[in-house]
Amino acid sequence: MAENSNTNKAKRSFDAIVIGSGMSGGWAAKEFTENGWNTLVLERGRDVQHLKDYPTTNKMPWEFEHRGQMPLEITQANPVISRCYAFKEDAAHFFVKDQDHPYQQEQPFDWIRGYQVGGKSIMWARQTQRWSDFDFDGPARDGFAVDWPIRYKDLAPWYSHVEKFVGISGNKDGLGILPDGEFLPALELTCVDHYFKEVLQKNYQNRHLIYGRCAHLTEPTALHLEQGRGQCQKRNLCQRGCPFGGYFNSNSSTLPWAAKTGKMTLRPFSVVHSIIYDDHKGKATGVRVIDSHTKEMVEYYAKVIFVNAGALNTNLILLNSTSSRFPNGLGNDNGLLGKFLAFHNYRARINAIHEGHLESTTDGRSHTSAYLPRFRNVEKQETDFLRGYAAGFSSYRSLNRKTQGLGMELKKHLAEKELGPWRVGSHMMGETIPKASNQVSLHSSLKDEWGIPQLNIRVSYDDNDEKMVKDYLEEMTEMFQKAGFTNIQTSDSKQAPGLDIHEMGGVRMGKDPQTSLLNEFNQLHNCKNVYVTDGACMTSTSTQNPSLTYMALTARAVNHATRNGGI
Amino acid sequence: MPISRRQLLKQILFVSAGSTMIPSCLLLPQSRGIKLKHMLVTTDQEMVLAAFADTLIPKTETEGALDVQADLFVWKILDDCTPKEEQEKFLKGLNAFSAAFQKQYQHFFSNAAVSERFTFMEQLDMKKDSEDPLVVFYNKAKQRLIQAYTGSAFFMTNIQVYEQIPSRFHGCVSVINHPSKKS
Repeated sequence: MAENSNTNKAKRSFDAIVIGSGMSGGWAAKEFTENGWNTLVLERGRDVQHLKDYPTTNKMPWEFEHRGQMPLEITQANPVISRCYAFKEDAAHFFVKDQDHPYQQEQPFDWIRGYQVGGKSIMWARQTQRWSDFDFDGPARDGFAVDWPIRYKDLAPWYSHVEKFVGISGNKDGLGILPDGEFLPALELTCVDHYFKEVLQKNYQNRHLIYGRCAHLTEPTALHLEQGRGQCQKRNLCQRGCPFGGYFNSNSSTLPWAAKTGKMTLRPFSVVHSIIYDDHKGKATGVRVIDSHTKEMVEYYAKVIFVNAGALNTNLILLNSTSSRFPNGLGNDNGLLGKFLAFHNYRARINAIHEGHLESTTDGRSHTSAYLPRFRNVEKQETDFLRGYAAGFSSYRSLNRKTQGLGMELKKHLAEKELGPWRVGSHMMGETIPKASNQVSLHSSLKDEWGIPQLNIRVSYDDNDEKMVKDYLEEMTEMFQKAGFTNIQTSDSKQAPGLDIHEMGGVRMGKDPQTSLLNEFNQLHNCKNVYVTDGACMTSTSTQNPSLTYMALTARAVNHATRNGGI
Repeated sequence: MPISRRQLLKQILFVSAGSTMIPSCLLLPQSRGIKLKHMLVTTDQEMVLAAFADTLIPKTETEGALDVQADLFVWKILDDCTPKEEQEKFLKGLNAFSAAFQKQYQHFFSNAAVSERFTFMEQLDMKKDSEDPLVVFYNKAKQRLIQAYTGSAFFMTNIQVYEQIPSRFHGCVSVINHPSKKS
């Protein structure tokens, strides 16, 4: 695979280059190659092929050396990644260790990364909720960030396009705040989910508990079978990679689809150094890639470049793409590149006991939970903080195991597992407000193993976030009380930004080149053949898990690029 | 872990005594053959935990803690996944446990008859809320061994069967039909 700099330039020329093979990069690859474009997909990490490279996927719990727990030697040397809920023995090999790829935290920021083909799409939590105009209107209505250059109607057909291919399990809920999509059947809610849903209906106007829409094939269509994917078997071990292709990741879906066209060249171990800008032509002509093994720099060329490196790494690449025309980073005339970052506030949780419904329980495993869409400040501003939060809600019957005694008595107890009461819980997913002070920049002297500047990250919570945590806990407590839940426990983890794994912005979309970096089709205002369609493009964050929106934006942007012949 | 000369001598004595006095009722090998990376554990300490495990969850018509190597898993987790202070606390507790038994019965725990071991441990089990360090150690060791035993292949394939591929989710079923009630 390794091509050296002597290789004929023509061989290193493509119609499109996609930087990154994760959630959005995979979509760019699929859409370009389906349109007949010769596409080079660059991935900084190793290749991970569907089925073949899921080493733990069929392991039983007892087959892991520490039955899932991570050794202290690893967690102590890698405190950031060790805080990630999925960094366990079964999936740790898909996460970047702190030690291997250092970055600078000007303020605490847990940067969770997956450097391999498929990126974080292998380990994502698979929640897929659409945005509505209540979200796109946010910045303009509430006076923060800049106005989004698009509205729901612009993205709706692309949401549908993506959903049909990905396979989204959900119900048509008919909610303005969370538009319905192209859904495969939903799983059942639990009895207590239903009960809580009724409590909310009875007591509130706009609090609707629904089944959390998620990227699982509950009933695969011909399009999914054609991808080689099959029905989700409710293992709920998705983070290992799925032997059935039951959930969506790039590895099982978009990338093999793109490969089948014969138009994709996938190049793993390719660290992108920068994008090449040609002053004379007034556009980007290619990218500089460092082979992660040989450290040799190779240039690749294309008409169009899609930057899908993952929100912060996309910022890094653009900041590092300097030229005489763009001394401060590609497209960065207004100095806003790397600024106005935001994320999701996942700090607060609430747990309780439900003493009713003891005659019922669940059976099998669910891969999602119930979801309470944003109800704060939806139609108008009504609190002392801007925007609001969505909430996950889950309920399950706990299992009690008696452990008194020893010998025969204990052995007998261990064999009997008794159902305990229902446990209910919720976590917040709060919108944060992008601010210029939340930013990334290139470190002036520290470099990584490939000579690329390390990223300085400066992102913090603000007063709005604190008020929102308080409000979530108060409101959820009230809702739980109305439901008669007992032993209500609230907590604020105070976790650092980043651990939500929903970092966004820095290369935001907007109408005005003076105040934004990207236009309504995700092109850099000042370098139109470079598109950014991963989390970096987000003008605001709203509350929805963002991957679905990145995928829809990507498909829409590729459509724009191909219609315009590469600008 | 630094060891004083006195401790070392004591341990050597334990080991040599242990190797000649293993009663046939306790079918333990001379050493459990653990290979630890960080902790220094004597053969005697291994044997005390093994005897503890054997008493706590004995082999009956079904496998016991030693059959599924629950004690070895406890050592492994202590060695690889547990902070140093907790490792030391565990070993200290284990030594105190062993010494307390020896004081009461005038011989070693790992060589004792099952009934003696059982009686000694039962006293601690009945005081489970006590803050007595011996009880605290007993509870901790018990908890770790239960975790190891119930997470073993034997337990999860024979006693409470783990379903890797449920292929179903029902949100609301009667408890009477729930698998946990069937057995």
